[in-house]
Amino acid sequence: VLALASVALLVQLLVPMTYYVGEASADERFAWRMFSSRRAETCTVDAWETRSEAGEGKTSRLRLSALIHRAWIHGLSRRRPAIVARYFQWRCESEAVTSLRLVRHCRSATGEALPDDAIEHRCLGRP
Amino acid sequence: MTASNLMGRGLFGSVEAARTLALERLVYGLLAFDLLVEMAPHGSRYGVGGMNVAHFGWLDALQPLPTGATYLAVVFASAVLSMGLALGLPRGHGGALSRWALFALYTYAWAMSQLDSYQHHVFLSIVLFALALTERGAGPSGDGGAPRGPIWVCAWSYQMLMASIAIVYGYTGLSKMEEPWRMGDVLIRINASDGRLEPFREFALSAGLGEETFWWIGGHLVVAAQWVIALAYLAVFFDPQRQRRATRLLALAGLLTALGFHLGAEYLELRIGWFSVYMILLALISLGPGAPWRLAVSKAQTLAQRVARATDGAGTAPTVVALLALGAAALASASLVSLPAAVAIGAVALCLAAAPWVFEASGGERLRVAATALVVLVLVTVSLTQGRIHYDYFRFLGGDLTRRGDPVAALEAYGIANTWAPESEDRRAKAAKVRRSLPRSMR
Repeated sequence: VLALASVALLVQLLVPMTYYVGEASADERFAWRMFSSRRAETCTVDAWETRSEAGEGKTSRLRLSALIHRAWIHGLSRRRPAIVARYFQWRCESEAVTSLRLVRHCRSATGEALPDDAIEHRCLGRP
Repeated sequence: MTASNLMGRGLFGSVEAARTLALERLVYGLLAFDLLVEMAPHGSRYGVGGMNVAHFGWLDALQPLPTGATYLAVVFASAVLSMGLALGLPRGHGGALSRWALFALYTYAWAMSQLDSYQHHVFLSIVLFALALTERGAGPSGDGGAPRGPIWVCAWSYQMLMASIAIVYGYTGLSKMEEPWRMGDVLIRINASDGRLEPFREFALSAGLGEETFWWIGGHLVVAAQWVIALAYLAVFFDPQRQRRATRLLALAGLLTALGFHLGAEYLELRIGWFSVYMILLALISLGPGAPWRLAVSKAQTLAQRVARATDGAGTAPTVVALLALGAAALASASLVSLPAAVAIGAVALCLAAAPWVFEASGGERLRVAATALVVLVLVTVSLTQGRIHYDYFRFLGGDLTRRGDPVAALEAYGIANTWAPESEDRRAKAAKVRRSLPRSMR
């Protein structure tokens, strides 16, 4: 019993700690960071997609709300690593898509505009 | 003293039986309604667009794409089990099985998709894990103690939960040590949405306090609150009988701080589901005085004993009647609840009623379990049909379908939502707007 409880508590101590020693600062799921300073940022995200049409690349802006549930859009705007990775993988399933771009616009807790950040992704094996 | 000794002293210390009993029953009861009222309405978002990300990569590899029906089946099954356990069902060996099944189902309910990223759902899995480890004697079949004096039991899983709660508050305190919290920036942001802190700010300013100082104090108070509560839980972990004066003082400080902090969070309308309710309940049971829980448990057990005496000599006929009623109620529930996977409610209730046969319980026990399963089924069905759960489910679905460019399906969803709408609101205006967007021939 002592060993089982000790392991259970040790896991509960170590899992949140990985947030502070890891690099994925956007992933706060298991770190008990309810209403964290990062969560207080207000972010929106724009999505762009380049498709290969008749040998030429054509880039267009996507209306994300027409494609996925807004909870996923919220996850993308928070730059949640697993959601971003799955989104890219999902869009790349379409053979015409060659590259993707997400641009986040955020404001700090006090309302100051933060620099935009962009995440680029090239679909594997596409020109 | 080694770490192992220290840990053992905390885990195997004597705990008031009434606290463990009250915590188990009340948490299960609260969770049952939480599942129905807070989680079920969000079922429509699952599987939308064919995209999903589970909380764990291996789960994505194992599971098919979760749909609204998958999610609701898990939520309904969890709710029936949880309410059954709150009412003391099933007894005997089926109890352990049900507790583990509830832990597994509830954890799967949030883990299947990052659409549910509420951190308090993870916390509740930790609570359910501790409750599943509860041994008989410290659990519902144990003696809670007469109102006059406590009965002490060894309840290591309850003690483990105290340490778990301390860890959660400790990390929450750590996360709020960051500058935006300490300086009050996050509070400013929270206040910006609906100005709930304005009366306090104005009062502070009129008392001569500077604007920055007000937010600085607010931020620091929130950080301090996390640490005080964490220390209180640690104190009752290491001294569960509260023999030291310091433990009693810390527990009282922790209780008052937890009440203040979580009631404050509710006042600010932070959209955190029922998290505050759970934390207030846990604080009242674990940090507060034991006498009210001894009284409540004693009354509940007296009632249970009366029911047991009245049903022990019952023959087979009342049990058959109860089972027939349960079967009829299961059919009625599946027809009354207009949500996907509604059949799971009756199916799980029937499984609960079957448990005494599997575990060869007495005739009286079979009757009590069948009757309690019937009560569970009625309570779950009434909760689903009398509140705004259907309305919320279908209006969320309508909204999402509108955004995804499916106005015909959206109109259908809004139509169902309107039939379940509470008196004060409906989605008629939205439905009319969607209808106007259709080609004239389709309106």
